[in-house]
Formats: sequence, structure tokens, C-alpha cells
Amino acid sequence: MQHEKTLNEEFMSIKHSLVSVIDDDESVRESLPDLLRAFGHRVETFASAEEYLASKSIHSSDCLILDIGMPGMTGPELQRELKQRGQRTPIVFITALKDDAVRLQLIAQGAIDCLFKPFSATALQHALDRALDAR
Amino acid sequence: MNLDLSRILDSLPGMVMSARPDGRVDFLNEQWSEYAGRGVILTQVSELFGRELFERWRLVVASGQPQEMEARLRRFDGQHRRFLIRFRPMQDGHGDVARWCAFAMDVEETRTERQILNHIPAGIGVLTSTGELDSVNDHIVRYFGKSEDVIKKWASADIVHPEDLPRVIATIEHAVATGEAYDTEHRLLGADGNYRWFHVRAQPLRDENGKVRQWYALHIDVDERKRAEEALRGREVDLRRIINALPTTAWSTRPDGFVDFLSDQWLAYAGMPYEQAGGFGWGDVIHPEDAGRLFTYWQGCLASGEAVDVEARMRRYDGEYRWFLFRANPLRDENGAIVKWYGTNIDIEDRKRADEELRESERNLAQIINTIPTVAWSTLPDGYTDFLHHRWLDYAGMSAEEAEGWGWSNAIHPDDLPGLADNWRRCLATGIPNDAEARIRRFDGEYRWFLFRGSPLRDEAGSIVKWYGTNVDIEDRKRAEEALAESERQSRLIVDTIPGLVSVFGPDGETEVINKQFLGYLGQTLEEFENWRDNGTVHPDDLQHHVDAFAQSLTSGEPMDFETRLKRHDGTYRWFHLRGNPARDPDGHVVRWYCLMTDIDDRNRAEEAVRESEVTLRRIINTLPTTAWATSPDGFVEFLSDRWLNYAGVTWEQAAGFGWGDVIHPDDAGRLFSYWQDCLASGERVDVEARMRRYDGTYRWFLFRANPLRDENGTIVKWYGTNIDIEDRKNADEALRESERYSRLIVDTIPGMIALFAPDGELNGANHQLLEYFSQPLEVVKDWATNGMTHPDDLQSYIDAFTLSINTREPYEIETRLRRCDGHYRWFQIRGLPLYDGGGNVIRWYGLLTDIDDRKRAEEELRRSEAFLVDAQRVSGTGSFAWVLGSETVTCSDQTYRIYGFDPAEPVTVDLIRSRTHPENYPTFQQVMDRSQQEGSDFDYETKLLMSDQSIKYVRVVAHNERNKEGRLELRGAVRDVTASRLAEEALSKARADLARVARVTSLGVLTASIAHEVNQPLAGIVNNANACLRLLDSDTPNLKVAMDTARRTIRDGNRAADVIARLRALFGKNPFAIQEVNLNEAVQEVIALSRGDIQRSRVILHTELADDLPSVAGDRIQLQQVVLNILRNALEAMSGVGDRQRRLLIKTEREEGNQVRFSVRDMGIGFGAADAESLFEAFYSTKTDGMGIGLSVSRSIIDTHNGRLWAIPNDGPGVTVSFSIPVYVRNEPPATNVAHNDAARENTQ
Repeated sequence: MQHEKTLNEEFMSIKHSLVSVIDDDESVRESLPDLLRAFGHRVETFASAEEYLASKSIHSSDCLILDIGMPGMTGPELQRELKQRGQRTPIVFITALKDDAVRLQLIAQGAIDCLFKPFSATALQHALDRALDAR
Repeated sequence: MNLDLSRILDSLPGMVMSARPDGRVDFLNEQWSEYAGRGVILTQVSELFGRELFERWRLVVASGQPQEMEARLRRFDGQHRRFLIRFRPMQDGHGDVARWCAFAMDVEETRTERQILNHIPAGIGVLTSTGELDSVNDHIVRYFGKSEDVIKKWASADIVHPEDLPRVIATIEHAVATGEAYDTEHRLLGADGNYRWFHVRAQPLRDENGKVRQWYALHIDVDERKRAEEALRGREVDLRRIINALPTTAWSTRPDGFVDFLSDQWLAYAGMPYEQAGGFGWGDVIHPEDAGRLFTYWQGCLASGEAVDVEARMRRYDGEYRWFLFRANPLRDENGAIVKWYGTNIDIEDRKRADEELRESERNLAQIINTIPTVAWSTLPDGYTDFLHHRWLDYAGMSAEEAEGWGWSNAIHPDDLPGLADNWRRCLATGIPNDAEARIRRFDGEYRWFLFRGSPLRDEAGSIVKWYGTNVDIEDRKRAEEALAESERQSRLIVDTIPGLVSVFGPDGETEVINKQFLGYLGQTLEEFENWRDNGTVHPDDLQHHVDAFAQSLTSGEPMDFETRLKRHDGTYRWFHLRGNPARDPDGHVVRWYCLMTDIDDRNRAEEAVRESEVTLRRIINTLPTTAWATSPDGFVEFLSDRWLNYAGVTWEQAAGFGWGDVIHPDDAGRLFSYWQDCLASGERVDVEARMRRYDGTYRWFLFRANPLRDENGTIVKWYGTNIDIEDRKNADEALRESERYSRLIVDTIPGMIALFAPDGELNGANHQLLEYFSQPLEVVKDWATNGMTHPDDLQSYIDAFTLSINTREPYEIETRLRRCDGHYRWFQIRGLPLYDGGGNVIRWYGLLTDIDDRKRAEEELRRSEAFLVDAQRVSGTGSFAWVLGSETVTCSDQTYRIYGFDPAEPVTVDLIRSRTHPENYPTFQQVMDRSQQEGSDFDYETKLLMSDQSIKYVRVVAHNERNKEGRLELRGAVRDVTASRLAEEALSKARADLARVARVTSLGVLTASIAHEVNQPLAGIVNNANACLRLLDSDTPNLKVAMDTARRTIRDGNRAADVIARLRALFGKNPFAIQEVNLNEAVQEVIALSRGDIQRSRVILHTELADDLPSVAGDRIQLQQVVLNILRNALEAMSGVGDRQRRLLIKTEREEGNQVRFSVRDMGIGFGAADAESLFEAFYSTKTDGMGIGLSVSRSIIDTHNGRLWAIPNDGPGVTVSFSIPVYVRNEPPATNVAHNDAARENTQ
């Protein structure tokens, strides 16, 4: 019982991490939450970086899944902004434009990973695990 | 300086100068000029003042503060005298010094104090602070006849009377201890060996801390006064007794007016104890209306020593006021100094109009009393004394034998004998008796005064057979007389000259005495008069009343007082006022009645006549359109016209007598009353101004005019006067005076030039500034019209205006040029203003000349720049406006009117502007109106106008909002018609869209990336949905509903991907581009024009170096512009983060070798590493999705299709230069038609 309870607590703490998805593409905002909830996370979605910055989740998010190319503030710009505000929330970039140089550049600037759309569930889960471990 | 003013300054009792703010002296008055010597030159201040004062004067000028100093000034003859000089700055309206004035007072004399001390006709001793005698003046040294050293040891030197010494020492010690002034009287031993009384008065001299430094003791010899006082004190006792016995009030005062005696009658009348009335307490019983006048008069008498003769009302014990005549004379000692005043108050209430008669009665009464014989004598006709009353002999201690003949003269005081003998000889010679007075030695050696009165006894032939006479001891009276010296002498004069009828009756009414005048009047003897009741002496009509009143008084003892007609010797009856007083013995029994009859017949008749005429007069006066009044000779108002009463809104009862004084303005009352008193006294006509209160409380100025009415003898019987309302004239006068004063002030202080003209236009005065400007004397400036001072071009118009003004008496204002002393003409504004007197006549013209030369130039300058501005506005299509917030109208330039299409005649309002604004822009307009409330707001916005012809105009408005000089918020700005560029911009946007569309189909290679992006999005959705679906189904408790949703979305995203493919295919259907001849410079300039806004927003300074001789290139104009635009925008972005240096951008076109044209953009942005130079074009991709996101990779592919080259290299300094070069257009070259030719074209050029 003792062991079980501890495991359960550990489980709860992991499974209930809050993941924020920021993407201007509606299909991503619709499809990703189901997948992430299936992984056991809580999910919030935002259509723009500005929307996210204005929300409360900026303080409570455990991980960001962030589109690079968005109207208004881009993903990398949000990354810089959060860094300036002292928010160290782990970021997993996603992009529809496959460009390894950009990916490496972003990782070099502190991102957990940069996934090219379409990405596999495994690649996403792997990146998320690293992100939540990194906290 | 104004002539009148300088004349006033010249008449001042001191030296006056004035100086300009810089310290240069420009005026000395007569006194100063005279003192300094006529030759002194004003401007040489150092010589005028002397070195020492000149230095201090400079400091004064620098300080700008008033100061006062003592300094020595050199006199014309080389002597120096010490002056107290007060410097005072006159300030103008701004608080700057406009002028200095100085007033110098000769204080040389005060230097020689010792000299003065010695010249004072009194002894002065100076005591140290501890009471030691320090020094004495010559006067004291002379008095004591001892050396100053001896006098200094006065306490032990036996020079102060031993009886007084301890007191003196104690007094000084007390004074030293308390520091208070002291006063002593003590005797000092003179050089002649006699003590004399001195009054010593000492004052402490204190230093600035209030500590006593020295004492100054003034010694006044009061010995004579002291002796006189002592003598007097003795006499007074007797006097008092006598006076109290007199049937009149009497009093005496000290020289300062302090009452030290009041007779019992006085106290009984006033019902006051002496303690209350003594000193100055008697003033309480004086009627309040008379008190001021009486006290002033009394003070005047005390000061001048003139006899008192004045009337005033005194309150009786029962509260009733009665008129009294106050008479008093000073008693003087041998030196003529007044030691006392003696006076009487005579009740004149009932016969105030007949006070002269009353006085006479008093005197007669006294005479009668005094002539009651006591000792008698007789002489032979030759004066040989054959009989002397035994009392006489007893008195003189002489035997009859000793006194007989002329022996009695041995008893006469030697001083009086010659006078007495003379008088007696004259009597004997003429046979006319004449009273004399002389002192007769009493048996004990004391002299007493006697009255000698004799009368001759004649036989039938009229020859004198004997003289009979009496000697009356008048010592007591004489003493009183001595005490009352002056007073008595005067009274006697009156007694002797004034005709009055006196009779004395016994207690039962039997006639005892009738004076000569009375007998003379009646033409009766005493015996005949005894039957007065029956012999027709009294008018039959009055007899009964006369007898009754007489009898009633005899019975009751009440004084007699009635009027009656008595028959004169010629048979006519005349009215008399009879007054009789009883004399009582110590037991209070009436022993005698003294009666005085005053002839009031003339007065009665006159009164009646006057009364009659008054009735008619009053009727006339009340109908006159002016106020009128009449008073008795003493100023008692007896008549006031209705008009007067109506004006003042008071009743006759209120204003009568002296009640009218209440309506006189308090500020004028004192002056008016004393003036009126003077007129009453002198009989001079009244002509004075004062304010009178109207019934409604307002005061108006009146001219009081009055003339005395005199009877045949020239005696004033009445005053008649009128009051004329001069309020309006007065106001005019005041205004005139005020304006004159004001003008003068301006003339003297104004920093401008002032000219004064006579009414006929002649220049007759000018201020200093004016004369200085022309540097000519007034005589020359006078001829301004002919001597070339006025500019020839302006002269005629000035003369015209001036002449017109003089003729019409209207003010004028004209601008004209006047020649300065250096020959330059300067513009002046000349304003002429007439000064009117009360009658509206011009008495002077003031001309103010203001130098407006600079203003005039500035005006011309302004006019020119204004003209420029108008041109500039028209040419640039820019109008200006200004609007004070909250105000109705907006000030607009002509161009603004044109832009808005407003009617130039109509004022522009905010509402009008709003009505012109396109409805779409109402919110903008409202926003601007809101923000304009904030101070310091800047505006820069574009708005659409809907013109009246329904056309659209675009305007750009730039404005700024700040406080204007009045402190109100004012919006000022410019409006520019940007319709043309706006339309061009819109056209360009459309071109840009086209360009973008074309670009999209330009390069398949580049599009691949775009396609991938577009397709990957739905693909990501598909994969995610599918993954989620799998997970959901894989769970222990599959959520089928959600899983189905994800499956549905998978299908939808699949369809979306298909749509993307379909859209891409559509792109290829668009037209291909054509190679044309393109002027690259023009193309580039178009792009720059389009991007002007971006460039400005990025705060980038743009430089262009476009080659003049650039050949046309071959290419698609729009595609090339797309590339230019792309490079330009990248450069702007690269510099957006730059803050530490200028953001410069250089756009350059140039011809290159090998028939190429190169275009380059050099920025100063963040740049990139050399290694990235190539990858820039591959990896870079604009993250902006604004429809123009073609990026450098697209640009490169476009340039490639033009057989050109696009590259980027880092600068030596910061930033990057991106360039492309493309081939020059060759006319015979076959035009490329589509992308398919690209490769072929490249091969051709290679």
C-alpha cells in the first residue's frame, strides 16, 4: 500500500502536467489536445503568442508546444520574450517548414526540440518527457 | 523737465537734483546750482559731487535702493559744507529705476553743538551718566562767576542754597538710578552774592541701545516769576474774597490755562464742586457745540496773551444751557511774562443781542459800589484843604493842622504825588471834576490806594466856592486791579465809554442813586425821578407791567428782568431792557437793588422791521432755484430755504442754529467751521467749498457764498448766503487735475518722447528724451515742420493730420520718420491727445512719440515672410490653422480654405470642419478632439474629406497642442492635400499585390517550400488525429466518442491538404512575365516612394546615389521592383534593433563592366558572419505572413531569370551590402516570353 501510494502520487504529479499548445493552425489546435490528454496531460491552446502572454498559463505551464511561423509574434520571438521575463518554461517547437538549420539553431538557443509537421506521437512524447524532466 | 515743475523744485527750501538711471545728473534746482556755482557742468558728476560722494553715488546707483548719507559738498567759493543727502529712485511700472532724485540738506550748523549751547540764553550743564557734572556752558560760568572746575564740584562748593542742596542731590541720584528725566527748582548763588531761583530740567541722552550716555540739564532763571508768584499768592487771598462778593462769576488760571480758582457764583451756577471743575474739568459744562471753538480760541489766547472775549454756552446746575460772555485778561510780571489769567463769565443768555449793554451795567454797578463815600474833605477854590474827615486823619495818623492846606500831600506816595497834583491842578483850573488815584500812607507807614473824587460847589454866578471830595479806600480793589492789571484797565475803559443807565433802589424800592447818564436821558433830577410811577417816565402801556414786575421782585427778592419804555428828556419813549439784582447783607436780607437799563429801542425797531421783511424775503427765497440761508451776526442760523432743507432731508428744527453742521462732510467740517468763524469775526464775505450730505446720504460739493448785511453804523446785523451745487464742476476739476498730474508723471518717467503743444498747435514743451533725440534745443525743435526734422516724404501727410486734429480737436495718430541727431531717419508713431479743461476747451496737446523703427522693420520683414508663407502654402498644397481650444472659430490660412473648399468669406468653425470630414473618419475626428484637451499632444494623421461635389480628398494633418501666450491651450498645425499621393499609393498597393502574385509563380523551386508548408499543416493534423485515435482506442476503457471525433478530423484534414494542392495548381494558370526595356532608376525611385512611410517609421536616413547615365535594363519591371522592395525591407529590418549608431541606408545604381547595371543596398544593421553569406539566401525565410513574404530566395530566383546575379557581402563597418546586377537592354535582342527561356537566356549571355 505504502509503495502503491507513493507511485500513485508520482504518477499524479507527472500525469497532471499542464501543456500549452500555441499554433495559429486550427487543425493542430484541435488534434494535439486529444493526443496530449491521451498521454495524461492537461492541455490549453492558444492561437497566438500574444494570447498566451496575456493568459495566466504563462506562470503555470509546465511545457510549451510552440509553432515557429505565426502571424504577429513568431515562436522564436516568444522564446526570447519569455527568456527576458525570466520564464524558463521548456519549449518544444513545431513547424511545417522542414529546415534542419533552423531546428539546430533553435535547440542551440535552449529549445528542447523542434519537430517538423507531421510528427509522430512517439517523437512528441519523447520530446515532452525530456521537457518535463528538464524542469 | 517741465518748466512749472522745475519752478516748484526751485522754490523748495533745499537742494534738489535728479539723475538718470545710469547716474548722470540731468537737473539741479536753483538752490543747488547756486551752491555749486553757475559754471558747474551737470554731466561731470564727479566734480559736482566730489570724489568721495561720487564713489558712494555709484554704489547707490548700482544698488537701485534709496539711501541717505552725510557728505561734504563743495560750494562755488571752494568752501565745503556738510549735507545730509537723500537719494531716492523713482520706479517705472516694471520696477526699474526710471529716475533718481536727491534732496540735500545743509547740516553744517548742527556740527557746532557747543557753539549752540553757548548761545542758548539759558544755563546748560552736561552730566555724565553717573550724574557727575561734566561741563557747563558760558552762561552758567558767567552766573556763578567761578571757574568751571569749581562749579563742577557744586555739591560741596556752596553754590546751591543749603536748604535746597539735599533735595537736588536726591533728585539727581534718583534720576541716575531710573534713567528718567528730572525737574527741580532750587536756588543758586550768583556772582553778585544773591541766591536766585532756577528751574532745572534735565533730559537723558541715550545711545542706540537706550543706555544713558549723558544728561543735559537746562537752567532757567525763574527768580522773578517765583517772587511774583509769592507776591501774588498773598494778594490772591484778598482777591478771592472780593471776587466772591462780586455779583458775577470769576475765575483765574495758571499761564497754561489750568484753572486754579472759580468763584462761588461760578460753582453755584454749574452746580459743581471746585474739585470737579478745577484744572480742566470746567470744560464739561461747556455746550458741546461750542466746546471745540471755545477751546481753540482759549488756546490761541494762552499762546498769544491776547485778552479773552468770546461767547459760549455753559450748562447750569439744572442742565439748561445759557450763553455766557467769557472775558479774561492775563496778569503779567515786570518782564511782561504772563503769570496768571483772570476772567469772568457773564450771563448774556437773555440779552445776548445786547451784550455790550450788559457789560456796561456790570461796570457801572462796580463804579457805584466803589464810589460810596467813606472819607470826605473840602478845599477852597484854589485847592487849599480846609477840611479833612477825621477818619482821614486817623488813617494817615496826622493832626488836622498837619494835613491842612497842602500838608496832606506828605501822606501821598512820592511816586503818585506828581500825577495826583497835576490832576488836581487841572480840576481846579477847569472846574471840571476828575477822579484820581493815589496811595496814602497809613499811620503805620503802609500805603494804601485811594480814589480821590471831588466836585465843585458853585454859587449862583457859577463861580466855584468850594470843592468837596471823598477818598475811597480802593486798596483792595487796587490789589485786585493789579492782579487783574490788564483786564481791569480794559474794563474801566469800557465803563467810561459805554453809555448805560443805572439806578439803585433801596429794599423797599425807594430811589437811592441814579447815574448821570440816566438822569441825562430822563432830563430829570433825582427828586423828580422818585415819582417815576406817576410822572410819565414809564410809558403808560408798560406802566402796569413795570410796576408789577418791580414790586414782585421787591417782594420775592428775585432779580428784575423785563422790558419797558422810558421817556426821554425830549418826550419820546424808548424801549429799555431793565435788569436788577439785589445786594444782600450777611443775613441774606436785601439791602439794595442795582438796576441796569439797556436801550434796546433801535434793536427792537430793527428787529420788527427785519421780521416783517423776512416774511416776504422768505417767501421769495423759497421760490428761488437755489439754496439760501441767513444767520445772526454770531453765525446762528436763523433761516434756511426749503430748498436747502429738502436737499439735506432735514427739518428746520434739526438744521437751525448750528444743527446744519451735521450735514457737512466730516472731512470738510473743521475747515469750513473755522473759515466761517474767521468770516464772522472779520466780516469778510464767505466764499468756500465743502461737501454737504444729500437726503440720500451722498455728499455733493457746494460753494458756500455769503455776505454780511450791515446797519447804518456798519455793524453786521445778519449774514445772507447761498449754497451752490458745484459737484459736477468739481468732478470736472478733479478729473482735470488728475489727468494733469497723471500726464506730468508720464512725461517725466515715460521712456519715450513727449511733446507739448499749445491749443493752436505751437510746440511749447518737450521732455528730455525728445530734445536728446534731436540733440537740439526746444527753439529749434519748434520748427519741426520746416527744418527738415520730419522726413520729406512724410511731412505733408503729417502736417495735414496735425492741422486737421488741431482744428477738430480730435486726437490724432500718425507714423512718420524723424531725423535723429546723427542724420538717420527713424520711424515714429506720434499720438496727439488734447487735454480739456472743465469747459471742454483744449488747454494743451500732448504728443507722444514712440520709436517704432525696429517694429516697422520687423513688420516689413514679417510682411515679406508672410508673403513667402502664402506662396509656400499654395505651392506645397499645405495650409495652416490654429484653434484656441473652446473657442468658436478656427483661424485658417487661405490654402486651408482652398483644401477644404470653404467659402473664404465664412469663418471656419470646428463644426464646419467636422461636416467636411468623411463619415468613415468621424471616430478619428472625435479622437483628435478628445486628445486635443491634453497639453503637449502631437497629431499626425490622415483623414478623408467628403467634398461638396461628393469627391473624396485625402488630407494629412500634423498638429501640435500647447499653451499660447495667454496660457490657453492652442492647437496649431498644417493640413496637406495628399489625395494625389494617396491615389498613387492605392494604385501601387494594387501593383504590389499583382507583383506578389506574379512572384508566387516565378520559381517552382522556391515554391516547393511554400507548398510543403501549406501541405504539412493539414498533414500534421492528420497524423496527430490518427495518433490520438489510436491511443484512445488502445486504452482499457476506450473513449469511442472522442476517438470518432479524431477520426473525423483526420478525414477533414486530408481534404484540406487536397485543397492546398488544388490552390497551388491554380497558381500556375496565371500569366507569365515579359522582358521589357526598364529604366531601373525610375523603378527604384518608385519603390523608394512607396516605402517612404516604412523608412520614416524605421527612423532610417536614406541616401541615394542613382547614376545619371544609367542605361535601361532588360527585365520585368514589376519583378525587379519586387526584388528591390524585398532587399530594402530586409535592410530596414536588419537595422530595426540598432540603437547605438545612425541608421543609414545607401541605395545605389551604377553601370558595371560587361554591359551590366548594378543595384545595391548598403545597410548598417546587425549583419551576419562571412560563412552565412550564401546560406542567407537558402535558409532565410521571412516569418512574416503579410503577403509579401517572398524572401531573398525568391529574389534570387527572379534575378536569375533575368540572367543576373544577387549576392550579399558584409561591410567593413557594421552591416551588409546586398546587390544584384543584370544585363543592359539591347534593342535587337529577341524578347524573352516566359520562364521557359531562362536557361536559354543565361546561356546566351555567357
